[in-house]
Amino acid sequence: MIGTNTLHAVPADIEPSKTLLRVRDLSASFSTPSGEVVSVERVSFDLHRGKTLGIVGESGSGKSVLGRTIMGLTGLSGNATVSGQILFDGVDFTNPDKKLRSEFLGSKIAMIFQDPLSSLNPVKLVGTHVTETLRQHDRSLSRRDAKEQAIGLLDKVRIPDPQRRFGQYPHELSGGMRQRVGIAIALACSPQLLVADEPTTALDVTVQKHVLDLLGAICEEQGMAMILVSHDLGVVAGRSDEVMVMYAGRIQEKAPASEFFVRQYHPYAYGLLASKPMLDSPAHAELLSITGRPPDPTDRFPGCRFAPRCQNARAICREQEPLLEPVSDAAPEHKAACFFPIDGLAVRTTVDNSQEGAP
Amino acid sequence: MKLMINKVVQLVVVLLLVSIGTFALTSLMPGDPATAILGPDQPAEAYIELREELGLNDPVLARYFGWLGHALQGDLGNSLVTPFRSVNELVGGAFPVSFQLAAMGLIISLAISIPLAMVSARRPDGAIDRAISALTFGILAVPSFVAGLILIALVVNQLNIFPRTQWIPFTENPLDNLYHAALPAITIALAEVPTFTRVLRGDLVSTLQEDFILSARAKGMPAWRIMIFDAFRPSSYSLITVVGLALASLIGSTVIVETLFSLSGMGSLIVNASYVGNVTVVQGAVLVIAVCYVLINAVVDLLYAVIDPRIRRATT
Repeated sequence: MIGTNTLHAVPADIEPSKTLLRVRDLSASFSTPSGEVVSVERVSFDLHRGKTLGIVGESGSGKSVLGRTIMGLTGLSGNATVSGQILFDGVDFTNPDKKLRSEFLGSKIAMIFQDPLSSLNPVKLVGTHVTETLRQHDRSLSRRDAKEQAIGLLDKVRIPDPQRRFGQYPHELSGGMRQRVGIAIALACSPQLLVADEPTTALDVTVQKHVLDLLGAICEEQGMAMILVSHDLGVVAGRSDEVMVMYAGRIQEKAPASEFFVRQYHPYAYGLLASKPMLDSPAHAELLSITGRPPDPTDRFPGCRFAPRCQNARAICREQEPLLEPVSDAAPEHKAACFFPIDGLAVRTTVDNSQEGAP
Repeated sequence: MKLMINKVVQLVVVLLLVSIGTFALTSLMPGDPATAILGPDQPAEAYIELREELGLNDPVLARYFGWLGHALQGDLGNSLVTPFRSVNELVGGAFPVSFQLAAMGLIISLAISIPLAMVSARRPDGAIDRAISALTFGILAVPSFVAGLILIALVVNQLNIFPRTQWIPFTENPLDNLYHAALPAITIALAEVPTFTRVLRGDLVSTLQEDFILSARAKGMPAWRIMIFDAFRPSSYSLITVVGLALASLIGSTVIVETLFSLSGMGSLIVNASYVGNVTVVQGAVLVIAVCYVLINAVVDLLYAVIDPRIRRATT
């Protein structure tokens, strides 16, 4: 038996494909009074089972919209258009219909939200949030069994005294506990893919680490794939298998995490990393900051979206859009969308040396 | 518990103020009870004598406390004009009629408004929303006497489904009572539908923007379930306030509907008593309505706490 779901059951003798999620040329745009806003533009990537993809970008880069679009939630607002293709486990999940959405969401794909307080219903018990998810996807589950499972889930996300917490309201819990509840809800039906949209942004730094470690441990234990969306490279570092840098709706750089944190090719990716304080950098070292602001999303100028802020930009950058391509033959998986890629490792070493040499 | 005690203390104070207001109001009413009783053509001594007898020459405070004392014991005095029945009896006859009409009207009205608001809020500014909005504004523009007359003309005279007049007490025959009360209740309900629909729709639309709605969607909940089980309760605070106020005000203000359907509720009791300067009846009826106002609002306050656990914790 493969399971109760017959829609896309794979015969037992064929090994299921390694790729869980295949995204091709995905774009999401919104028509607003001030014009067409393209939040996600021709994004393509593959996510393998059990792997974690980190998506990094500043506010307005489209990373959250990308997460929601993968969840099939973007199309719910009447002014949104989604194009391209999302294949989840071989099933076309682009603009899913009601039936497909209610079958997949919560059970195969789950989501964790940024603000655990506002993403929990203030008038519902903590426990109800978990049991309703369980019962939604397993109609035969009795109330009592659902409660038992829910308490088990709360325990699993390391909420102390889960019995008592089950009967409390979200406002009675601390921020870290609430986000654990959010994780318990997401885990309820053992999904294959977890979309974590800034899961720790609203939390204290110490709590952040606990929550991220918990997420990582659960992903590994259950073989769950995760898309970890964050504005903070530190959150993604060490917890992703692959990293994708988004800027103004486009992927600027994409690389295996081990590669990415050593060397960045795109000036924006380099800038992001260089603007982050590092523990091993000398004290009082000046942090680099990227000058300027992200472009107006309604302004569809030609060329590279980062060109107006890029110090290396030349004429071609303002005319043609660079494609996301491998930069060096040595690392075919490490791609950047830049005509004049830099070598982040080399630049950083020079900067560090000059700083060390300074009095 | 502390919440309850606080509320009770508040209630007592408000009720005292209400009684002072009621008493003062009727003392300021033009007209002289003695004239009301005796008619205009009696010798002057007769009026003076009757005023003395009624205690109208006593100091205001003495009269107020005398009245309040009796009222607290459940005695609202006697009607000054024919039929010389006790105010208790008159109010006791009219109040159930008014209360039932108001309550039924509100229930019918909510049964119409809540689904309308939910359908509207699903796609704000969509075709359905606009149609419902136009419909509710249309109803709003029709005064209840017009709506009542149309209902009578259509339902009673043409279709002969509902009886036009007659009131059968609920205790006598519940089914017959509901049957007879239906038409006036619908007339009352129609007038409230626009407000309820608009208020709830507005709150639903803003609740549906909340993150917890998105997270419910991300759990695979169907839209109708989210609307009923996630969005409705957090959106119902304003609706409850408006419904509470409407219930309280309807008890005393359904004169037009009562007249149309020849019912004798609180509205017609007060209006008729006022015409003839029947002060004790007006006082008694207004006091009962005022007490209802206060009690209903107290219940509404408690309902907030029932609906919203955050209030519960803040006040207990």
